Amino acid sequence: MEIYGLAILTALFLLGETIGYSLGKLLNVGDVGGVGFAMLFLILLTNTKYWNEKVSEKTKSGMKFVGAIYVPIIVAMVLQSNIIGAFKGGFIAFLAGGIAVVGMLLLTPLLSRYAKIKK
Amino acid sequence: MWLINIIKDLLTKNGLIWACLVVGVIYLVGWYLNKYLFRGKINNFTLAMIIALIISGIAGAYTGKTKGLADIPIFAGVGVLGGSMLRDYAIVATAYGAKIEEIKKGGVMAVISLLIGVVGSFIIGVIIALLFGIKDVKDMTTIGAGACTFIVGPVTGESIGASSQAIALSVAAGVVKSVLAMILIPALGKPLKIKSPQAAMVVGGLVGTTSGTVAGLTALDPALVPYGAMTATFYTGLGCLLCPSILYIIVRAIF
Repeated sequence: MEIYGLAILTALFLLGETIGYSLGKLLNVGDVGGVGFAMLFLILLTNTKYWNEKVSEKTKSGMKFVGAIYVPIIVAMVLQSNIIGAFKGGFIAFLAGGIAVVGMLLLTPLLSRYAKIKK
Repeated sequence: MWLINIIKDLLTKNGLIWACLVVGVIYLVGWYLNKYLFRGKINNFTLAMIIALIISGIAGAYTGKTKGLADIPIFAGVGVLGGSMLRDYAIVATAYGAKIEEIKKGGVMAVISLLIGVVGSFIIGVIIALLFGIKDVKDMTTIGAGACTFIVGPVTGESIGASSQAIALSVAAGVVKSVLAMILIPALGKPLKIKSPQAAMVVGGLVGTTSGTVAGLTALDPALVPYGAMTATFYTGLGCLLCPSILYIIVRAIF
């Protein structure tokens, strides 16, 4: 059933967040990759033989549904960005944030090429 | 007017589903503009995002607050739909169908790019702060941390005791970074060859800001989102760990 998909997803999400926040507590910061851990668990689960052969399509579709509505969720997220705050920071904020993103993006081809050569 | 009051009540009460309609309309407008104005040459999501950015800016100017459209009471539901709970839940769900082999291939590079991403952004932020004549070590560090993400900045600033002005600047720097990532990742995706899961993982590690990376990768190619998002979600934690500790100590030692 669809609800199982949602339930499993929530369980994995909470498990990942628990690890993320525990790690954070250990290191005295907030959340360290809780979402990332949850994603990892989901990938591990959905790549198992059991998942692919035994779990019903309806359960899977419950999970896929959440994955599908993330696009409108991202649009809603963008709708609440603090554009004025970005401008108010003036030149320093604009340059610090801007050069950081441009500079790092330019490094992408270098690092991703290396990622492939290694294997 | 009684009718307007009824509608207002209904929209406030049903905020979350009303937000779905709002986003749907924005999407439709984006699709329409794309079809008739840009002849289908732009990605629909990119246009929807640009419209959302503009609306958010106008709303922010109108309310004078920080959460864009969500600060207008009848649109508060947008804040729920796009808030961190549903956003993180949905980001996790995008990992459905991602392949373990791809992640294994990119794993080492993802960790390296995370480190380069945090330290690199920090250095750039510190240099910019220096160029603008900010001499205080704590303030410099905070702006450097803000160049990581808009969460790392204030967390760092508060933990080392920077001035509130520097903390505000760091938040602004992080927001600029996030918004630019949304626009630049799809714009530069082709020349930078962001087309494999490994490249997406590297982008997530280098750029870091989850909202910006996820929105940018969605516009570029939704299939890459899980890989980029997974590394990006470790970035803020790593930044909050490194900036107020090792990186702060290094900056203090130099200046």
